Amino acid sequence: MSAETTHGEPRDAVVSVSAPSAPSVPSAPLLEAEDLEVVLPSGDGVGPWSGTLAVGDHVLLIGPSGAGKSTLLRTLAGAIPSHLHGRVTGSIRVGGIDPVADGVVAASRTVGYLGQDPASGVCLPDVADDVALPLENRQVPAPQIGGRVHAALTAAGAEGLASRKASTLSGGQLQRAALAAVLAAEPRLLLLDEPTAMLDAGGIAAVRGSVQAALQDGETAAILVEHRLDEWAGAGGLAALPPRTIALDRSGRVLADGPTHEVLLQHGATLRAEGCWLPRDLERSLEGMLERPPEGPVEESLDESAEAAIPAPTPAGIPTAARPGSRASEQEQTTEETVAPGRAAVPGRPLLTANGVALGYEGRRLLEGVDLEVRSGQVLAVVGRNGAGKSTLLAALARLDPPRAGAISGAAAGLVFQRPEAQFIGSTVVGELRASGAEEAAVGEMLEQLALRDWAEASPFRLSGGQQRRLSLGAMLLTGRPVLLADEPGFGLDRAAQDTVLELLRESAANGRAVLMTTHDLRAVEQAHAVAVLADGRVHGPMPPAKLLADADLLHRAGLVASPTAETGRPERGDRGERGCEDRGEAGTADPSAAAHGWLSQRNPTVLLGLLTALSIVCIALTDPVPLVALYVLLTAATLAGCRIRPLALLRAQVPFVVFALGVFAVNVLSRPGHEPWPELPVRITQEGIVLGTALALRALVIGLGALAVARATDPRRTMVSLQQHARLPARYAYALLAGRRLLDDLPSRWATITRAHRARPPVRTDGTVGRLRPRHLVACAFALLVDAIRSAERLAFALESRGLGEGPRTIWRPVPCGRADLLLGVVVATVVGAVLVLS
Amino acid sequence: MTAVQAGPTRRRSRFTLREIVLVVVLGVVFGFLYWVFVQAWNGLAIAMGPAGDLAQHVLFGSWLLVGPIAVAILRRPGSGILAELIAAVVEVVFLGSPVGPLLVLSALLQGIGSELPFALTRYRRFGWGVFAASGAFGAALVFFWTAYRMGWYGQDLLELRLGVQVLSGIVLGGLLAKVIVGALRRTGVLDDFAIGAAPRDAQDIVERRVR
Repeated sequence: MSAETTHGEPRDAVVSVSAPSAPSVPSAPLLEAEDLEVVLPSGDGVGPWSGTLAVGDHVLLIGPSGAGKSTLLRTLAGAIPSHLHGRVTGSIRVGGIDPVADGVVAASRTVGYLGQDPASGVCLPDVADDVALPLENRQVPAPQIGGRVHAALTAAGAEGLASRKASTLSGGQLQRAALAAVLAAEPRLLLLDEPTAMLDAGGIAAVRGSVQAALQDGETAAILVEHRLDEWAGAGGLAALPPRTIALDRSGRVLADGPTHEVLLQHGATLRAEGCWLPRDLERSLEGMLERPPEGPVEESLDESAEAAIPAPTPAGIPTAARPGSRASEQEQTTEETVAPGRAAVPGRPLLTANGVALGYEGRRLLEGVDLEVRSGQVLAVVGRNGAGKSTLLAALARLDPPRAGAISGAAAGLVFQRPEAQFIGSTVVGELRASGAEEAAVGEMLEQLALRDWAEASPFRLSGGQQRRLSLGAMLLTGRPVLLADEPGFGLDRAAQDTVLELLRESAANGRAVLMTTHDLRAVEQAHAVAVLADGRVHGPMPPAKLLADADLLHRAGLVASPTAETGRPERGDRGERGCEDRGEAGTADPSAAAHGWLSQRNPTVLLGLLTALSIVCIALTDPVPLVALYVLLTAATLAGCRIRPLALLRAQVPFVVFALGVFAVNVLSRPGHEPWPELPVRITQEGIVLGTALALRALVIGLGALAVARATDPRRTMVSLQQHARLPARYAYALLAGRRLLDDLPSRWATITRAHRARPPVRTDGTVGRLRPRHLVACAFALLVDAIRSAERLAFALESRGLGEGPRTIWRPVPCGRADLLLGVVVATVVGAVLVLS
Repeated sequence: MTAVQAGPTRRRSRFTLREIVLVVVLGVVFGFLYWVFVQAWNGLAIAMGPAGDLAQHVLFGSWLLVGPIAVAILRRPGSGILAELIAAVVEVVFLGSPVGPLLVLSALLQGIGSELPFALTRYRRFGWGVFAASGAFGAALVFFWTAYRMGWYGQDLLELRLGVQVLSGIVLGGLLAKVIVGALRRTGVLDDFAIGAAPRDAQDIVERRVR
């Protein structure tokens, strides 16, 4: 291949371009790379890259999917080869550290990393603890940590989140909290790996504002990977992007390294052809440079009325985003065929109708008076803010959930979820298609159409994001349901992948299906035949896309364009469960260690666990029911008094133990040989069995009650901190366990999402409604959850290490006291138990 | 000069944070899934009355799962024991297990039993037989401690309990673990753990693909 040539050329560029930024800092550069090349086991690679970054440099890293942008950032953060297998050659120094040889913890002294997944950006259950973690790991004295946590949260625009639980935050809030944890460590190099990829316009604006504010100091260098450049630049346009750009080609070779506008102008056409998103202004000028007359293709694809509605000079703020007309040239033909004004004006017959439908969940009304017709031959886009009810509407149209009022009637609809992995049921790609019940010939044809022939026997989980999206759409198309509902089909994809997916949707519409998709993306809206807006609890439209694009106010209300006054600390509402970051409304509880459950909950968790262990050992040694009864009574009294629990609630919590204890008793009575007091009975009942059975049953009850009391009196954070302080549990284990707790908080909503997604897969009933999941479906759901969790584990481990969590000494910000009251508790328990044993 | 070959070095003395977090997450997810499936099971157990005490042995093997899965993924001494211990801590601290902290001792015995067959192959063989042996040992070793804790000695049912528990260990705690590991491996999520590097020698030079 042309490795040599592509390689040689940019290196000259590197030298000539990075020179101007260097003079101001005569000392050694912050980052120095020489022939840095990373090759992953898959054969994908990035580099070789030679270049420098000076203090305060801001760089945009751009390239199509698979070019290795993330791989390069992870290498700089020290994750290869310590976290991800791969071969690194050449040399790299960041602030005097070699991240490749020294790993993530060492690199974290200089480098901060913010990734794209909000759910694993915050690794601990409490936001404040997560921000404090890097400070503790750097041995910042405990009294200073509180102030620095507050400062970091403020710098990230997240000061209102200090006392929140991570599980109650929206995606945008999580990303800002994660940014605070990164900033707290005062990194000299900030690596931003698509930090807004999973956010809507409001979230993007807030995160971008926070990042840009944090970079104002001129001391922090940054490398940004970002698909959605317009959204990142906001109203600032090209000038708001980092001044320097490194462009990678599809193979990961460095295409160029230089001033952003020059790189984009020179290599824009190549990058665009390889599937990169570019700023719209640039795309338009590129189109102008292509063979067509400048305005020609734009006008052709537009509605008459819309054309008139577009203001000639675009008003500030919205305009870059609001102007339609940037399409890949290969799509012009289809555009003219299917969206040409004539066709759009005569849509097909309605296949699915909603009449006076009201939607909502958990007592919350989201949408009222929804009248909507989904017509054959049409792609209908549905837009609206996070939480406006898009996913809820789709679920209702797919007959997953009944509406609160009104009726939905018409043909069966197949719903494709936003995250394809939540919906996979096959163990291979071809199996995934076969699971739709289609004929073998149709499966083969679909495989070709999706360009997945080479992957037929691979696991669906191995595919790239774009391939997964195609596969999930293809599998649903094969079910033959006349209506296709797609939730955010273009989400997080690069240009080439999104074009392919949208093309697939438009084709199925052209074949007579009705297609409805939700989206946050203006470019996708432009590709639809009609668009409906969910805002203020009702549906606006459907209307021609051009009409919406010309309506600045409606664009704001639809969340497609961030309002100029982007919120900061205000809670955003997340889409239901979809991103695993549903906002549960009210402000978070205060300090989680606050004594909410009475006197016992203020005691040291290690002491409580120790006492429970001792009590369990004593119980196991007892075979006499009398002291066990005494212990049970005393423990009940202590629990009622110390845990502030109502008697009835305590009884109810013990029901499972009681059932178990009864079983133990019955088995012992019937199965122990010995003296039979009632030999005339048909079954053998022995005295030994009754006595021992009673003791064993009581044993289970006492230990169960003790465990219940301790579980109620301890809080995961305090337990882990205390085990670290008082039981010498290594910090890495303590925080790995707390990260596990954070994941556990998320699991119920992830499980709900996956089971809902799977309900859309089996054949629908004759009335178009979906059935219940069978056990084998639940197994597939469990597997999808497991895969998802393992992916989270990798991100969590990386996030924890990039907060500096290693094996070295550390401080503890909010230590758990172990004092006189704990000693007293120990003495009292020992005395009472001792007395019971002696007296009986 | 940096030049590092693929794959982390094997046989380090300490677990990496990555391995610890993986094991924690396995413990959390299996804990959660048990909870989901136990919702259905509880009703059945109540309906069975006294037989519920015996029925626990039928499902016992599923408690062993996480041990052999962790050994197969991490392929290091101690990984099975670590996985069982952490799963027990997750249960005691996060889920409030009625067994209390003594569960940790049970977990230790389960871990030792589950890991033993893998250790005997020096963490090199991961066939059906080794997994089955893992389940059998895991179930058997802890049985004698549980029998003491629960007072099973002296009951007529002791051999029946042991038999059912070992059988369950083999099927649910051994063979099922291999099925799950195989399925996970196919998805690619384990590529960056020891299991992902297994077939390929770490020294293998990966050919860079150029498109």
